[in-house]
Amino acid sequence: MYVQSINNSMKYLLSFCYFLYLIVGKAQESIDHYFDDGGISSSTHVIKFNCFSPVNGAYTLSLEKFVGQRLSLEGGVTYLANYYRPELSDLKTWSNPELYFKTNGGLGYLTQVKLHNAMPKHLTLSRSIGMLFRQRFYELPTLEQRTHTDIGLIFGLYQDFGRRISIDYETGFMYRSYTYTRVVDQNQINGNMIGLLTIRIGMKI
Amino acid sequence: MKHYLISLIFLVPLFTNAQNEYHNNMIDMFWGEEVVSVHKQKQVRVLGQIDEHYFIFTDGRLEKYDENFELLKSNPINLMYKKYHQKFEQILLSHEKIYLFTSYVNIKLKKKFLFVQQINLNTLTRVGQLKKVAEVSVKKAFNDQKFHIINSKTNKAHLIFYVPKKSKEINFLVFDYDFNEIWRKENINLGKNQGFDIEQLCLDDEYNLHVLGIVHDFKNFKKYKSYKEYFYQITSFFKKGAVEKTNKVAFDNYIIVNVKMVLNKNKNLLISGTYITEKEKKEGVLYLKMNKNSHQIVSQKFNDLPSNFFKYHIYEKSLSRGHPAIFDYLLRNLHIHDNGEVTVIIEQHYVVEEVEHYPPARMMFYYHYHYNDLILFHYDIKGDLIWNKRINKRQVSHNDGGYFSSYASVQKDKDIYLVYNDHHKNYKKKESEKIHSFSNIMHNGVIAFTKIDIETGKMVSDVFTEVKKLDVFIIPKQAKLIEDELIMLGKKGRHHRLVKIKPIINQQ
Repeated sequence: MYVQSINNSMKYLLSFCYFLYLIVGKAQESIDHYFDDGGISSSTHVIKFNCFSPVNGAYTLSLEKFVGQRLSLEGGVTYLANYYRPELSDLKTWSNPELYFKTNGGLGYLTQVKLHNAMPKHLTLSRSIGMLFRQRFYELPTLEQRTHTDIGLIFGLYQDFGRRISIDYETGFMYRSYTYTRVVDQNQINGNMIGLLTIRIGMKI
Repeated sequence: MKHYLISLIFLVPLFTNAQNEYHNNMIDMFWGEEVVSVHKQKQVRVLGQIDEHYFIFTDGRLEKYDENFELLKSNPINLMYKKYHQKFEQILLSHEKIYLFTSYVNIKLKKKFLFVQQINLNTLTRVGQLKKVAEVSVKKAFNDQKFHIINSKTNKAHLIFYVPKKSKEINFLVFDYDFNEIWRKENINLGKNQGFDIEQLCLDDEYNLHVLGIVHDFKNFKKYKSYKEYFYQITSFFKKGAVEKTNKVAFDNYIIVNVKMVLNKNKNLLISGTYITEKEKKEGVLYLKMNKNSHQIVSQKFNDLPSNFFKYHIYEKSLSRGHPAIFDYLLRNLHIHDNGEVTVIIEQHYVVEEVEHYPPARMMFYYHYHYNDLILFHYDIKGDLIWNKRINKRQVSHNDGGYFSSYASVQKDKDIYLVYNDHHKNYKKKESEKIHSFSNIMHNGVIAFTKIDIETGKMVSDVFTEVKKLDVFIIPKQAKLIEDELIMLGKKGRHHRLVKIKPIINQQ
């Protein structure tokens, strides 16, 4: 009898809680649906793909995360195809294209930290300044191992198109150090300044 | 607690510059303590008074002062709703409550929503349920679609209206004092098949709305070109929008330059403005009183003025503005007196754009904001012009929107008081000397006032105090009239302080 009474009380309590939940839940929901846009406006992650680097054999995919309103961190991986050749100002490579045109491919990674003048918003252009650090490892047919280590300053413009699509225009300059690992003379280190010009397409997730 | 600590860090009251009082035989002026903020504030606004406390809004921060204008609390307004960032639209004080208006663009729904929420007067934070009051379809998330919020004279009724971009249709939403919707009219075209531009709106406490506007053909419409190409129309909405009445307002042969409409105590609509005739180029001021229910004209007068009445300062003639000077005068205030007489104040205001070329390819734009003479017109009950007076004033500033320019007015019994920033030399010069312009320079500035007796038109101008003694300029455009006291903000750089100006009656 006593147990049944407790059960009844619990039933009433649970019913009341459920009723309260319905009221509160409904009231809250009535406002929330004005804001619910499928997470577009509140998304802080953007997947980016470098559109033009496949021309010289580098496929770069990266993920940018906004930390707060103005700071973003980015990390990405690069697949270097077997026709990869380094960027324009690597004159030594370009002066001997027959030697370096074919590679056995390789891999790379990049990290970026950027400071934006404003949180990127739809169709507005926001400016950014940041630091880039990236490394690329690849092998030539001569079995020479090469490593590029780039560190540089980048200036960017960021623009949103549509609901999820964005475009990054970036320019800057980097110091590139080369490490050659050859059979005869190992670990030669050389370096020069190179320019950077990228256009990347992004998608908010 | 967190916000309180931030307030203490960011806002340091300078007690050394504590309250000041100034008196003369016409006005009492009372200054509060000076407050210094970390950032240079662009926009400051007096919201009003609740009980003994005064509230001001400065660039996203709400501040509360006691009756001695000492800062009690300062708090930034949080515009986040959960993880969504809203845009600030408006803040207003009505019936002892402060309401915050925010908007949010939902990209998925392609709509812009307007919300209202109350502010807790103790904590100065948002409190209670966020309430949606209006919505409009938008094509792009980044847009400048505006919601206009207008109050009745006693704040018992509120109006929100908006015209969607590239649309002829207007949306009116009328609310009670607590922003509960009373009636709405959506997607209405007051010009029928033609264009309609709203000139003036009047909302009374019974939720009746009166709209004065111009009906025009969209093609080649130029407002001041010819009166034959457009006409004025008044539309009233009665009985919570259920009854609509529209009438043409005949201003035949007159090109109306400026117009203002208010409701008087007898609940007639009072329309005043300036005009110029198309052929003879005669300039003047109009007075029109009409019954608000029937739109029947009670009295209508066109008072012609002497030629060259609206003129530029003598050394500004070389500007060649390209149009008659009357087009640079704006109708600012319409004071209705207890005996039914009306005083209208107009001010000369124009902006001069200057472009400087720096070869090979650089250009700099400079904007000079001119706020010059004030002219007062006093009408009797029938609309006949009794007197007019000109107050010589010259305020020029550059690239600041005329922040410290213009004037504030307060009416007390049979006097009107005008308060403005001015150059100190104007109060020591002989009459024949030129007027020196006020231009935001601390050691030149004075706070001046002019008192006008409405019966005779007699004027008294004087300097109240020097700006350098107070270390701030007043912002006349942001003045708030609370009963017969003018509450204003003084500001310079990061410093600001409240000031109360109270006219004294029965003086010697």
